[in-house]
Amino acid sequence: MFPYVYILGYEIELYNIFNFLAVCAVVFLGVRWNYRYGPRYTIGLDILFLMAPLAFLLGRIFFYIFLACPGSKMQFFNPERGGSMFLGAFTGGLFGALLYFELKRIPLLQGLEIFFPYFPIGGIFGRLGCFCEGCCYGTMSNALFALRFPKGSPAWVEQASKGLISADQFFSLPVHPTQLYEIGIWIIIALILIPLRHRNPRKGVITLVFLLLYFLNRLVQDFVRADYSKVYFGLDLMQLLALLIIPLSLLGLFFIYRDKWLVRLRLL
Amino acid sequence: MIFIKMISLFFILSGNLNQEAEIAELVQLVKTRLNIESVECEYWSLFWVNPEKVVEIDLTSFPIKKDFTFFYQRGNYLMSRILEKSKPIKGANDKPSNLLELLVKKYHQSYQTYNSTQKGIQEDEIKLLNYYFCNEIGAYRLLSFREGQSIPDMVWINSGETENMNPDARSGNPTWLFGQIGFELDTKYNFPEYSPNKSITELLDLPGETFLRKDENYRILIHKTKNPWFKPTTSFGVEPWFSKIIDEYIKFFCFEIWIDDQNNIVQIREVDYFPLLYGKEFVKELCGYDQGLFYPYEVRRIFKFEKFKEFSGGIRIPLKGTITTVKNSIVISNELKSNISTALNDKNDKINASAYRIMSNCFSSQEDYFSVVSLEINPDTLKVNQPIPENTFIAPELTIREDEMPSIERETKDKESYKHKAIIFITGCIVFTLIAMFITRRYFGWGL
Repeated sequence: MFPYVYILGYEIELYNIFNFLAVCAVVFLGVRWNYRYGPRYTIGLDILFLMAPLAFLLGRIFFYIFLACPGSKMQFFNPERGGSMFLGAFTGGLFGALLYFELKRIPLLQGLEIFFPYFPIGGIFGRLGCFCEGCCYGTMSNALFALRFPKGSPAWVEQASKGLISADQFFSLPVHPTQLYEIGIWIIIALILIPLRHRNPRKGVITLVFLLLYFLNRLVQDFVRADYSKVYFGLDLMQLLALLIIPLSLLGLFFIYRDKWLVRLRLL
Repeated sequence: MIFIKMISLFFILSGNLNQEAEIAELVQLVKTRLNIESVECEYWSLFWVNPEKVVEIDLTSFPIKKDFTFFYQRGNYLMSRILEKSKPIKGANDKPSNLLELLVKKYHQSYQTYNSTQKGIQEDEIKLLNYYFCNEIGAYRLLSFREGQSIPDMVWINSGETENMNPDARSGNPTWLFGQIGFELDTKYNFPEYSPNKSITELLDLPGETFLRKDENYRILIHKTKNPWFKPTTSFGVEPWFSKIIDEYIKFFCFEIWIDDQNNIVQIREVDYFPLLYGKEFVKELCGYDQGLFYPYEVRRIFKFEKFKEFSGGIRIPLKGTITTVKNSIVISNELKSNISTALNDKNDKINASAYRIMSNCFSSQEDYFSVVSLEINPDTLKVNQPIPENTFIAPELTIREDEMPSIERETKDKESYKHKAIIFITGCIVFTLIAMFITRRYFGWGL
């Protein structure tokens, strides 16, 4: 939609700016909570120096492994081309944080759970970046809220290359604005996770609820995502992963609260 | 007994005479069909490569379709492509239907204006990429015109590029459509010598042997001659042992012309029939079989033609042609370079280059394509044998220095720009983080 801003005469991609803001938002809010209400571990914003580069690197590596077509793999080092995959950026950020906690001798899971409730805020920024870039777009739709993306956007390029629109058309055919759907879903996840933390859940619960909600979102949302190719049974990679992660997260939650469940079962 | 021998000799001789007459008739037919002095047309070209054979190219950018205007007269020609034309974005699907789309369109229009200003494109400006081939010397030019003007405002070439290169070499050459073929060395190796195409009518007149072969629906004229473009590849700096192999590939030039029952030239193939080139006995010794003069073989390029348009004097020009490069000699040889080297070492260099070439084709006269160019002429624009002013083919003088050139297709400068963008972005992120770190440490005590 709005891919660039002009800084010092250079066009800088809003996608990159929003992704950086996403990592910053998660870190800033997490560290703030740590000092205001949390365990006051010695975490500073210097954690960004480990999280941001690894998130960028793994996001890009995952993109080239799972999303980019084989012929374009050599574009890995070309800053003009390519993109990022949320799963990779998430994993990279996670590794960065774990490395930081290891160096600062902070308990790993507790350290991570400082940040997890704010991942949805990062997700909102990330998807704003996708919306500006036009990537992560949805399938064609006649729904009232479907949007048309402009010339040069990934949805337009795909439709033009398939001959669905002519090259002189400015707008693509309407597609599901999956980026905006996901922003909505991230808001809901944030509204669940942030209050959940105030109820002092057991160790690991925030992580598992986050994984459960995110992959539930992807399981449903990817039915209207057009940029991921289907792998098996009409499901894409993230949906297949969701089929694995969702039961594991539920199992994990059951395991954490097994004493409560067992008491309830005995009462029955 | 003598009588029978005389009769059989008579039949053989008369058969040969008949065949020679048919060959002469076909050669004459080819000359009639291609009696072309000048051609003018608009055409488009589509180029794609075999992803299995060309791994070093980014295939996401293929196939590439380009539109050209073409002028040809007695060996000189001009291929002209519009690179950029400043025009408002139009289209049936153009009107914004809500406020967001209106904003998006305004943003993109301002971006387009900004981008055009950056690239030096003015309103009503047209930029052309022309390739002139005049008196066997090629020259390319970038030209900038105002719409309606005939004299360009600016003429330049891109920085770091040589004047005589053909930047559109991959888009093919429409002279192929009227029987002009040639020996092309792969542009990848940047061979400095460009081998101009020669008409098959001219090639048929070169000393050599001509054969006639008949397929179900075609009469096929085969001509073997010494390669008129031959230059030893050692002169291009190729290693001597490898040069020996390459030179073997390009020593002869053998091609065939397929004529259908409508007397159209429907196909030309650049093909080397090894028994024809090196003798049946030599091939039999290496491959262990004798299957006549036309097997084994190696096809280099196939030119297929269709949709013929007839002009006065029996001239017929195909409106569509598909040119398949089956075996790019240099690239394929390079792929096989290590194998060849091993083979030569194994045999203590007793195996010679022609033998290696035959042996590698004994059981695999394969025709996997390497790249394909499809050319299609707009029939309404095709004019044949109508005089074209000679100055059309003369490249205009450069009007601006390299350092003053506009930024169109300036890959080097663009790459610099990407580097700068990346540096600005990363520096911005680091500075932002450091400032935020300083403030939060100083005033909130974070990280202490």
